[in-house]
Amino acid sequence: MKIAKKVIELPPSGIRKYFDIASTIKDVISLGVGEPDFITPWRVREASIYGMEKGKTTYTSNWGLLELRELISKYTFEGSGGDYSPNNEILVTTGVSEGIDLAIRAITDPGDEILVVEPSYVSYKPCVIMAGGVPVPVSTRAENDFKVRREDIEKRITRKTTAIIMNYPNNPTGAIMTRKDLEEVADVAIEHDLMVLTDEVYEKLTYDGRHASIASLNGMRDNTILLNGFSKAFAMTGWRLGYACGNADVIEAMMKIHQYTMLCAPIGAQLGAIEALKNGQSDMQDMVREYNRRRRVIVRGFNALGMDCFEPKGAFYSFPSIRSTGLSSEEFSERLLYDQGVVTVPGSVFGESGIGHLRCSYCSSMEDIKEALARIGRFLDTLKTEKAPTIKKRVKR
Amino acid sequence: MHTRGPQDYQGGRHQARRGAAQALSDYHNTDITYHHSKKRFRLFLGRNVTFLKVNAKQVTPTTGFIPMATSKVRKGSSDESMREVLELLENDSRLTAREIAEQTGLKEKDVQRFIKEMEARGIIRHYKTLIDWEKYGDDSVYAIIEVQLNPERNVGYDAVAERISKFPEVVTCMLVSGDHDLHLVIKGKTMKEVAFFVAEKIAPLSQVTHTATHFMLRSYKREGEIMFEKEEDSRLVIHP
Repeated sequence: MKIAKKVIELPPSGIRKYFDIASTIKDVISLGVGEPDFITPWRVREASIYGMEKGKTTYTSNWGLLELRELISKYTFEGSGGDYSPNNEILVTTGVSEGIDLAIRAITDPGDEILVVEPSYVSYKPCVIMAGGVPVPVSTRAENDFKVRREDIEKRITRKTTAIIMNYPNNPTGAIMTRKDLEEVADVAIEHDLMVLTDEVYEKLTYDGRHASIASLNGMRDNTILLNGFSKAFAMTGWRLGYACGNADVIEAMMKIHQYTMLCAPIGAQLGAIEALKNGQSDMQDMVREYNRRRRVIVRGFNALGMDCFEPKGAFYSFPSIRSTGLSSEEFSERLLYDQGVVTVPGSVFGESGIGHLRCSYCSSMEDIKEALARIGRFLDTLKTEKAPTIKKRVKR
Repeated sequence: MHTRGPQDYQGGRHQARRGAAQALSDYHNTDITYHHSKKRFRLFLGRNVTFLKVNAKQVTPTTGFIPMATSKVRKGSSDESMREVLELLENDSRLTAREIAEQTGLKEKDVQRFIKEMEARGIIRHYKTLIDWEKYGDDSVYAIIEVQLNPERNVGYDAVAERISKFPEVVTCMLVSGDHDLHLVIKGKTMKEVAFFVAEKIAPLSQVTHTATHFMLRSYKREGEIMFEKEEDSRLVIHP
């Protein structure tokens, strides 16, 4: 049986083993899920069911339903002046994941180098490899609030560099980039003629300050592929619905691939998304408010335990440091899971700059978060009894 | 990394405040201007315009959204975060001031002061637990009573509505629009008891012209709470 070489060479998901361990342990509390614990708002589900009842079960245009694209056009950059034409600058995709794959494939020739801002969502690098490109990591650091800076990017640019992929609010760190921060990236992109792929699926989950998109900066509209979706803001993960906005030529190129692969996003999901954009704002705001409360509790909890926790300003992940324990991210995650039944994701899964951290999602109930923090506290206490000098350092703090 | 804040703006109070407004403007990606004549920040967020009396020293780009920065409780405050305190208490009255402070980012003392003020002003009326008595096995009977009234001169519906409200059997009493005037919820041990209460206490009142009794058979939602089994969390324990 022949399997393509580039697929064989793809690295396996770094979290697979934790999933396998977790499934064998009872009384597990999970901070591992990158998925809202809210069920899709009823009005969205109801609109989709109603559409089915009325026989709306067909293919849609490859681009997606026009009404949905019109709403996306209005929704994207609302209040900041930017807009995309629903006719040829917006493509409805099956989740942001498809959008990422399409965008990378549409702009990548074999050997092209694509910069990936790390820590990053796990699919960017494999997608670049599958498209024949070469992923080049651009590290960010906690001391810079995990923001990508001009000099970080410039260090990695070669003659083969064609694009940069970034994700703010960021999974796994929760970092955001302000308009001013993004101007630095925009300057580099324009100077070196780089396409910017910006995954803004956590856009609505921004807690302090408003979300800023690089696509709205001067000169960036046509150099940017803006990727977004409904999974996080509207708790619609299983619906697999996203969208891409950009220059008509690049969106047309993405649509070409889309029409030969997915053909179109499922109509039921598109009907639900229309309702979400029309009337789902208050449901979304309620969820965001609840995440914000949990965010405060978990960050405070980690800091109280002596685990330096970067303050996430967006998404629904906290990214505490475990360096003071002397354990590696993987070791900490695995031992915590076996000892206390708490599932976390080692930061190293998200690239080298995630080493020394854990990704802990706070889209679990407040009770679970508090219980998980208590268990992590007990785990740290057991580490104190071990004789590693790094543990003493932590105790001293 | 150092973030520019009001402390970086020297040269007098107004200049410092103008600097703070600029820093907030950058931070919030919006236009915030300072009007020194009024000693206020004028904050533009889309179509919403809010006026806030803010001391520049209190405001740094790291304190978060401006209303959070001005966490002092003001009388009659409609501040978002204070509303959030009420919403949290409405959902779970067992929450302590400390827990609320943790969740909202407010100071515990401010939360305590605010709750006391809300109690004193009668905005927080009562701390109550919503119990599914049916599930517990209680067989109390509830009925919705529609009451038509002749309003009284000078006092309208108030006098009779207040009189009816004082009966302990009356759980809810509301003046409503439509084809009846008062909407009552009555609690009793048996259907007979409820029926007699209506017949003996409500119907004979001189202002009451008509009553209609509807016995409640099952509650599906009360006080915003779904009373049937909720959907289960079926997510995987781990996912990127």
